Amino acid sequence: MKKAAHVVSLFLISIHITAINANAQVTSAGKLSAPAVFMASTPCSPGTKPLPGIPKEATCELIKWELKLFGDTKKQTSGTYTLNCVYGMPNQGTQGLINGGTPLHREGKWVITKGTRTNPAAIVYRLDPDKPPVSVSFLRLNENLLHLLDSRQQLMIGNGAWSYTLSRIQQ
Amino acid sequence: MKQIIFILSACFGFLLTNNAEGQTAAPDNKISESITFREMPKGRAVYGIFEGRTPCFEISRQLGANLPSDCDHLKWQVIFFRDTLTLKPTTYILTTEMFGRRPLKGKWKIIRGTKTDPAATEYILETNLPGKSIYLLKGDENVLFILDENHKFHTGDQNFSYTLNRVNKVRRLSGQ
Repeated sequence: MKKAAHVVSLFLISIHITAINANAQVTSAGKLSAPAVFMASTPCSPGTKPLPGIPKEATCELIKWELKLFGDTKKQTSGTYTLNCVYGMPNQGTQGLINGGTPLHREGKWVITKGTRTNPAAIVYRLDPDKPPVSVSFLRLNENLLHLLDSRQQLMIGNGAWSYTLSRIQQ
Repeated sequence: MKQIIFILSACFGFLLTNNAEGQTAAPDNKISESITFREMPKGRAVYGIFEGRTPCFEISRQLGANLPSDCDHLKWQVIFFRDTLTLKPTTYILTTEMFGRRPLKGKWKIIRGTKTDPAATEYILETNLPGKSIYLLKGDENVLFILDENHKFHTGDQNFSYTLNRVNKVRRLSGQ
């Protein structure tokens, strides 16, 4: 029994150390690593809930996303993120929102998982994997593109105006 | 002891692979309706109608189209036709501002497997533009990605991407 408790302790400690390493945002040289920044304008409707945190009764046709993934997305399998969005009704004739929209901020952890229902080789970025009610997943199309998934890990279908593809912006 | 390790591993694995409940439920991830004021082709001969908005200049350079320097975005509509018996690809009609909104017509075909992904499926739209074809990667039945001449993804910007979505065209009479 004592031995079992020892093994369990070691297991939990190893998880803790992994999490600490994954969340590091400082390179070995001591410099802050620049985040990968992904942006998009995506649809939003009463029937869809592309992003937890938007009230069901909110009038919303457009979400403007800015997702920052900290950590080396080429080498690491986890890290931290910040997500700043504004949502609301589009201001016709512009790329903006009426009255600037309603802001929404989230931050937490991201991890990479492998495989979707239809593609075992697919790479999926998941925000807040430890909080399933607010967890959000994206399919990695390449190093510059992410596409939002639904609850069954299928590609979100956009409309004639906007899609659910986030593009990496060089800053 | 083995049991404890197994249970802990299973819990940890479940935590990482569990479906994201916070996202749009799959039944709510539906094809959008798109309003039209003209009669649209329909029936078994239509494989699908896809629409999207893309940035202007990367794709116009690729296809050799001239656009005004103040171009903000391009509206795309691709109608794919198929043989009603074999369901094989036949022709397409592409409408964008690139060619003065004059529809681009031609044949399309499906190829399976690319240099980098043997499981990929591409739709190739043959054009009458010398040496130019349009390459679309099939994300799934409802989402297509416009590729460059090297069959690689285009990267969009904060407003537009190079993604086309299947739409259901709904006819409205003008003034309705």
